[in-house]
Amino acid sequence: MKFIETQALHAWLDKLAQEVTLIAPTAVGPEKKAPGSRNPAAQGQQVFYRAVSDSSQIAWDFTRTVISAREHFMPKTETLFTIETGPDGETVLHETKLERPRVIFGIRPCDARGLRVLDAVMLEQEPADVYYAERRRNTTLVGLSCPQMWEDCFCTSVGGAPNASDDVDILLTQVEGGCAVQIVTAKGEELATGMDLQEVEGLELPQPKLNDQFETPTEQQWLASFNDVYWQRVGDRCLSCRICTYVCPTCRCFDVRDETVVTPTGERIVRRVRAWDSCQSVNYRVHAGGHNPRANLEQRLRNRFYCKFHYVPVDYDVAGCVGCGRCVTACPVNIDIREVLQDLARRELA
Amino acid sequence: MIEDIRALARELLEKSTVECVIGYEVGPTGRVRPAFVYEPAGVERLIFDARCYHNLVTYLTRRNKPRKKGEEVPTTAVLVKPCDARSLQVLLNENQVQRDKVYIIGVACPGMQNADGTPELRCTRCDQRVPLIYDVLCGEPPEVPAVTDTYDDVERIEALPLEERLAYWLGELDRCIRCYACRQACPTCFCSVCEAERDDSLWVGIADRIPEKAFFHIIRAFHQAGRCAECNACEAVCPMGIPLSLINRKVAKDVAQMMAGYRAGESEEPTPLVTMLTGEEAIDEIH
Amino acid sequence: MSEANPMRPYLGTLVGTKPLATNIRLFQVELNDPEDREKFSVWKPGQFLFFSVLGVGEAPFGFANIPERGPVIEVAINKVGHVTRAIHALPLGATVGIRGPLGNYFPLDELKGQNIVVLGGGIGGAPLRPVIQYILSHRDDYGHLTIIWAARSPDLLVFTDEYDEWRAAPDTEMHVTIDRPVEGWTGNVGLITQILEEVAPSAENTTAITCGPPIMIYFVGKTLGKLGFSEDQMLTTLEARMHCGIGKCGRCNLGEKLVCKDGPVFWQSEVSTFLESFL
Repeated sequence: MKFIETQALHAWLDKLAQEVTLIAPTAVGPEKKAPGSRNPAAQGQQVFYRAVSDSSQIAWDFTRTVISAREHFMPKTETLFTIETGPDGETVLHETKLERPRVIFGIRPCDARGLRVLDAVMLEQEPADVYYAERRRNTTLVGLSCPQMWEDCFCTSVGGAPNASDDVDILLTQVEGGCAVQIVTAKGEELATGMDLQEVEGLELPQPKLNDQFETPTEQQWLASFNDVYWQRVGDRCLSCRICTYVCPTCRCFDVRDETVVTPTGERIVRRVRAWDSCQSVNYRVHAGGHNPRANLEQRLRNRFYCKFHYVPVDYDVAGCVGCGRCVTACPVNIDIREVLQDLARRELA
Repeated sequence: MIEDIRALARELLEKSTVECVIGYEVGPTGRVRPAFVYEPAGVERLIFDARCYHNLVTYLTRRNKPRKKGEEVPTTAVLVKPCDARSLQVLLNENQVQRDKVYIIGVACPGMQNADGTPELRCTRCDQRVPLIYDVLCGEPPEVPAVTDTYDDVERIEALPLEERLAYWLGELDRCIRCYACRQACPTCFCSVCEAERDDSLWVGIADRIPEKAFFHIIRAFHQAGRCAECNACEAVCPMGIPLSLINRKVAKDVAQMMAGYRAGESEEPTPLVTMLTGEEAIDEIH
Repeated sequence: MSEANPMRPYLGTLVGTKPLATNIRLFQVELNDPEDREKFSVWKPGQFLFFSVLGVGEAPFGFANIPERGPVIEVAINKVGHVTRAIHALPLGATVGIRGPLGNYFPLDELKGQNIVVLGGGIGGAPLRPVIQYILSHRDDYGHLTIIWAARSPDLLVFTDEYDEWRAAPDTEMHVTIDRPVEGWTGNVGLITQILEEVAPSAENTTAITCGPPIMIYFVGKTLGKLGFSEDQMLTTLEARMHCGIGKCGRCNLGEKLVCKDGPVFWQSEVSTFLESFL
């Protein structure tokens, strides 16, 4: 088993930050706010995947980040192109410049697994989205195993594992004195050439503490439950906000709009942007004429569950949920995806 | 107290006085959440204690319409704490909820507590223990010393030099992800199309940038002027931990100063800061 | 990366426009680059495009003509939202953006030898015009053609100046109806389902192609069923709000189907379970 000492790992990361855009879990925001609050977000700093300039900014003992790593592949907002006027008065569309190579360090196995869904939709289903493809090509993933499944995590119930190496280029697992290193892909191999690796005989990976595994509904149970009053009952307490979809590593819905902005220097920029959107929003499906085919809250709520567990698997042959638990933790009214799955899985089919 | 609430809820459901009772329950992982009880047997799920911070009034506007065309608006019973009752009064004043379609179960408020058992900050500023409006009151109001809200939290921000104040808010709003949970949790934010989300908006685009976010939060605060009952729902649901109630409290403080101590939802008159359409326009124009 | 960027529109010029009905105009666009024109002129009846007013936004519309009737691209656009308002305000010669051709198309090759019933409601007639044009251009390949055209009122009927041409085509009948009586209107009055029941086309060796508001598609489907049509003899084209047209943005789903990628053309059997929730 390969091994890197903590100090060598930090040195490597410090050097890496000079060469590429290094994105890593880092604590953001003021030491706030209402300690002890029932709002988990208000209890202290929160950890996000952010560009860091050296290893000291990395939060090593984080659980999971508030927003998944998808924000670095499908940014919350991106410019598709600017609309400019050429020298002869003609219209010119100018596309955004490429970014420099990136390494996402410390991505959790579930977040990396979430990219399978985004890959299936944005990359593998033709035509590929060039913006996503470019970021994906340009990025190497260095995963960090979870030493345990955290509160609300259920990756093992949807096919994942806290120490899965399947979706990263290199996987690190914290052990005494440093990290065990598993090199998974050729891309990882190339990146690892800069690491001061040692070969340690008999180094064993610690077994993460697991949460209870549960049964998820069968295909038949999903099909039989579409028109069930159950969705109205769960929908009763749903606020129709977008938290669950925005913290989710596999949600990918976006909106596109043209906008004109005037910069502080007075420059006028006309551009087409796309930004995250959410199927939970009441306006999501509204036609220009005002017709809304998904006007009821429970229809929207149901869509989120069916998208993850029926539509995505049927359309792309990939699991739509990675069990990261973010939506469970963040839902202000405790709509718990695990509870919904178990409720449906317990149903008897007529 | 909880036995009183359960007995009342059971009676309301058994006699079909109401279609549904909205209260609180404990979810399977121990978290307190809103509960919707339709069957008398379901009242056993109901709880009430210092963890029941959600403002359930926010669910009433969406229930204030027939489920299908031609059907009657169902009657709903709802548990309200004193601050929740103030937001309900605002909705009644603004014709968003019909008084005869809501059965108000007032609860004597013990003051809400944080997860670690300390009192919620907002509750230390409040000595209201009995809702101003209810059909039935459950529980004995605890004796608490009179307190006056000094808006010291707002004043601390006001005292900062402009540059620092700006930096503070830009830093906070930078984390906003435009999930609109604050708006959705807010009982008095009920527009069917939000100004921040119009397709044809000239004011605000879809981008996740500080100007858009600041626009949304500031416009929301202005729309809440004289209407926000300071129930803290917006701040309690923010996944980014942004101190949103500070913005609304700043407006509430200014309103109180300008208008002889006016506080939202304490009278049956709509806030003097809102122009009300009357008669038939009222419902048509707002929806 | 612009080479194959599906989110980047081709640039074109608005070369013609004429009124079709109240708030509905036909817009004719020619792509600026001859290479783009070449690549683009393979669209099929039923497909759609995104029309951009650059700086305002883009929206999806079905093609209203076939390439053989080109070379310009025609779309019929109802002024309802902020993009369509901007399109209606464009001067001739304006630069516009066009993305496409997108989506699937009516399987007209598979329907050769069959009788065809075309049912269009209001602006829903626009994506059916290429079907009619195609059948009329390949008249011997198809059996009897029945066109049933409906609108709420006479001023909302589209392509009225072409009805004579359609009626005059061999083995073709056309019925026009409006929902409610209007002074000066001497034609049929009644919902499209009523006229459909009266005309009662035989289901034998026949496919019905419907486009209109979802509620019309739903009830026309029921009426066709009464006339003996199975769901595999009913084609429909759906509209949905969408932002990409290529199966990425997620919002146009109807169950596991995406209107943009798996549609917009569907067999009734593919969508009937979802139509009710679409109303």
